[in-house]
Amino acid sequence: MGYFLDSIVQALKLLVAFDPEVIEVLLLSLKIAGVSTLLASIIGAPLGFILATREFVGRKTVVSILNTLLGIPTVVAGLIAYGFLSRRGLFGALGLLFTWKAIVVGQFIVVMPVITALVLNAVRELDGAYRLTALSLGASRWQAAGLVLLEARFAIIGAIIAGFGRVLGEVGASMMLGGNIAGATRTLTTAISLETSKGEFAFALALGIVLLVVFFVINTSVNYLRER
Amino acid sequence: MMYSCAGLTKVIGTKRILDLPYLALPLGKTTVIMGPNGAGKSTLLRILAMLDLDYQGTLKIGDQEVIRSKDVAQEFYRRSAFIWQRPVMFNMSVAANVALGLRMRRCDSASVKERVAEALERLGIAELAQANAKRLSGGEMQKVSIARALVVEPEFLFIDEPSSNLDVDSIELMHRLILEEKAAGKTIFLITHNFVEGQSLADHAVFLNKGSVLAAGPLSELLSNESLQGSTYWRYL
Repeated sequence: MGYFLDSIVQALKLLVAFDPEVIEVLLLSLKIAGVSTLLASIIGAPLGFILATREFVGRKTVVSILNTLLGIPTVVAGLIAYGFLSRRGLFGALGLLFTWKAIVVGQFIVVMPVITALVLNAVRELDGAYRLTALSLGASRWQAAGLVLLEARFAIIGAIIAGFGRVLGEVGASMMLGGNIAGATRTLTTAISLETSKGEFAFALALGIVLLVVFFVINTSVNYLRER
Repeated sequence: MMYSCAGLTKVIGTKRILDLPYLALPLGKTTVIMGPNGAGKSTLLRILAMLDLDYQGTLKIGDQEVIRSKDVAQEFYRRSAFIWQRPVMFNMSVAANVALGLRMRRCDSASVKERVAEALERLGIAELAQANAKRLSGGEMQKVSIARALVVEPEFLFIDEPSSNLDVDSIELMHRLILEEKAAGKTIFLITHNFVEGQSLADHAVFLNKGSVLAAGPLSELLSNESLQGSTYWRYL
């Protein structure tokens, strides 16, 4: 118990001192998760909206694929991205493997289905009654879609933030595609794993506390938006 | 002039929800649609309102056959207004909610502001203008939805159980407003379980049971028709 408490004290000291290594790892993690979430949102949010509001041939198949991808282990997402980015892969010539951009690709595969599914469910819930009300008020089909989108705005932002939380906490794809290189691809989660194995428990704990604080902020934001 | 349906059927799965060989409802009058739960009242209202285009049969407004297309329906919505049993409020102010129908009809801002203020005053909810419509009580939401419907000055008014959620004073106010619309020659279709309400508002009635018409016609005739006494619909009287 003494060991654990001592480590917590040391971890807090590192945090209070704004340890440059902790800050660097935090900023890199936020950057990678931010870029992957942004890219996934650009594709996933409109896709979720279309799947929720339009009926077309193959829609059910797309939703089934999406639901399958929802539970994809991050290490499998890493494996898929690795297949494309490794030297013999389709995009091997780009030389992205073991850079932060490779982690973005892996995290994109993880978070895109999450954002799409969350947006789909949020908009689907609203679509029927709100679209009908909008149409009955004289809205054109585009105006009705705009009103549904306006109504779903907080749920969509909530879905994006939840997706950001999912990739910030993932370790499998980051480890496999980034290689945990200090200053280049070391994220909060891969650093925690490495530092623990090196016996640097206090440092790992400091990173863990940072991660928990970020998750707390994310969850509070999502809950706030859900109540709007 | 009548709003008529011929060979109107609505089937969901294997269940026949509506089966109306012929039904004619007067334009410019108020028709009350009554019947037990599951009789097909809401389905008929939605079909008449062109909110449900998935049916078999023909509708005619006067002599003109209703073409079943989304574009024709959209044109019709701009001549109509709807008051639902459970009103849907958009996450915006009461005034913005009431203004939606006018904005969809591209009314100019000054006129929208003036008409919304008038409508809120008419419903006695002027003080709620800037409140978020989603945070209102059920009764207040119903008043907002009535204001939202009346502000567009519709030719057709479709109302589904209007008095649910309202207190006695509000029901009285709503009845007065419906009677004003009726006096202005609007075509009103109204679903209610309350026969006294139906009788005080409507000229014409349709009684449905299990998707079929039990009786339809001017209320005065139906009430004096002895052969209908003892039937399902009579229990409503």
